[in-house]
Amino acid sequence: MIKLYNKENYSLMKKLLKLSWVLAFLIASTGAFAQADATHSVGSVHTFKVNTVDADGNHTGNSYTWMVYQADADGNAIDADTPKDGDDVATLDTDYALPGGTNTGVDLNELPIQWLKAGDYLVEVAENNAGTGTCSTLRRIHISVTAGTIDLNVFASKIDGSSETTLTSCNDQSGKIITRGGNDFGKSVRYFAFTMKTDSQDWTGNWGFNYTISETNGSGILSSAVVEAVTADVDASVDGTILVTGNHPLIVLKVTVDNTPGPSDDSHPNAAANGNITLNISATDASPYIVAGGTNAYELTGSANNTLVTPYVITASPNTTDISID
Amino acid sequence: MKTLRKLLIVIVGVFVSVQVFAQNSGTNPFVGSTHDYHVDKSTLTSDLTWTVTGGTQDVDYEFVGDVNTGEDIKIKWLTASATPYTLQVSEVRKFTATEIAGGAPASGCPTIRQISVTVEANTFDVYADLVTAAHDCAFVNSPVVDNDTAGDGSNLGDNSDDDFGTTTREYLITAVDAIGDWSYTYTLTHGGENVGDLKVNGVVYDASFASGKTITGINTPTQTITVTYKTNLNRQDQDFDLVFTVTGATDSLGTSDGDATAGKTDDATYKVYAVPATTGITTD
Repeated sequence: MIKLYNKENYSLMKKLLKLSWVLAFLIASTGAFAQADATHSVGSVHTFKVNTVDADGNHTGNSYTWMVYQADADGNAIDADTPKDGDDVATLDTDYALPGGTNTGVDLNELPIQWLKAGDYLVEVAENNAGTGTCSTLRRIHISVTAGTIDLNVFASKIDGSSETTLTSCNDQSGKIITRGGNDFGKSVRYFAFTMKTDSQDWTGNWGFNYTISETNGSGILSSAVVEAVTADVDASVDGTILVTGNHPLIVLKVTVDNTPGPSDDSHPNAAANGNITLNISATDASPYIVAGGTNAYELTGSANNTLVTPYVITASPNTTDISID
Repeated sequence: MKTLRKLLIVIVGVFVSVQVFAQNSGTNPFVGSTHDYHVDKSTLTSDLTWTVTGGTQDVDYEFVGDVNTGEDIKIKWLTASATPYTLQVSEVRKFTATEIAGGAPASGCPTIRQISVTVEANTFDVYADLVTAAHDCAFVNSPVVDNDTAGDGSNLGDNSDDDFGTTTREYLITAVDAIGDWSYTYTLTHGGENVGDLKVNGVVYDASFASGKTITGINTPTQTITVTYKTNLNRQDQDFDLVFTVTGATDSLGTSDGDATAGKTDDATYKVYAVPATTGITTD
């Protein structure tokens, strides 16, 4: 008889036990890291295809029916109803949209789907033989839909939305005559362009964001900036909020500030006398959103390019006094 | 005690039933069957000769091996008879020369035994039945998994490495009125299509099947034949007929297939409709 609980056996058992834990953990980990076949972003349109690389040809004449089902993170179909009635379908125009308008047809072996809501989905296609055969084959693909690549991007622009590369320039009054008897050094206008994309695709639906203006000169914070929309259908009427409707993936905002004359002391940019205005705009973190399927899907926290990396500098003109005569 | 008595009644009943339904016996043989007939000879020196009356030799019956002498003979019955045949065996003494000289009768003092044999229509029948719907789709995994055999994604969206599943069709082969073990030969046609990994009862279907396969020693009333193939193994399958045909069935008495069962045939046909060899879904 082997004594099970003598000292040597005990230590061996301990080791075995440890090993079992490691193995169990490994197996569990493998399960936990089950990945979707692809990750798409809310709002993006992706084309799903079958039979494009089949050596047997293009299956001409066969009909296809595409379905979208709800899934869990492991890609298993969900049947949440009581009693169970089969896999739960995702809701058209809430969870996803069909840009092509239909999900079934002859030779419809490619289907664009637009994702409207974050979640896990199964895209399924049933291919039916033409003619007498009603036989079908099902294929499924697991798609994880996230807000991950909803992306607002700010850049300095011209009025037409093209990129502005000269960020430091004289104020708009520079070189123009100051009206005699007054001390109005005028205003300067700078343009900011905003793009909204999801999965690097232009977002054509409604979108918006909150923003703050940063306007400073050598003496501190200024607050003269006035924001107006250049692009049609952009509502900038509420300070700090932009709402875009009507298919504008790129918009331009016009920011007008009062010039502050003074020395352009670039060698001492923080000197109180420095009249140069530093102007920037920042979309508030996590505020950019797209309206997909009737609800807002937000850009992730900490996304890049929500403000100009290098701000505008509106170089001041000398604070020349009015001409006096004797 | 009561229970025991009931059991006895049941057992007796079973035996009686067997007796009643026993067919293709020596006295009621099926056309085409061969039966053994036997007598025990006396201890005298004698010859045994068997004859059949009421029919013509080699038309209505034949002595197997043309042997109609001896204690054991085999007769194959060839024609059903409205009136019974009579099988007689005559044992004739062979007197010695001395006995003949002493006046022993030339007739040899025969003893004659006979039985009446009614040859019946052959109801031994081996036929094939379908087990499931005659017209049906091939089996396909649902959904079909897009295998990544190379492990680098190069096989995704490709159907050449995907397992579409195994299509199965079963045939039920039934023997009616078989005496003892039965056997048959079968052929399987599958439309000449390039069907992948075709197997019959788990055995790979190869050239050796072309001339038919014989199964012997079946001792159950029915036998199930399972035909399988890998769906779309060689990419897109075509619709085809899967035909199982029984030929040359015999039972232990050598009775040949009488094909007498109404509505049953030696062949059974599945129409297998192909399922599309859809590739895996790809997306951008």
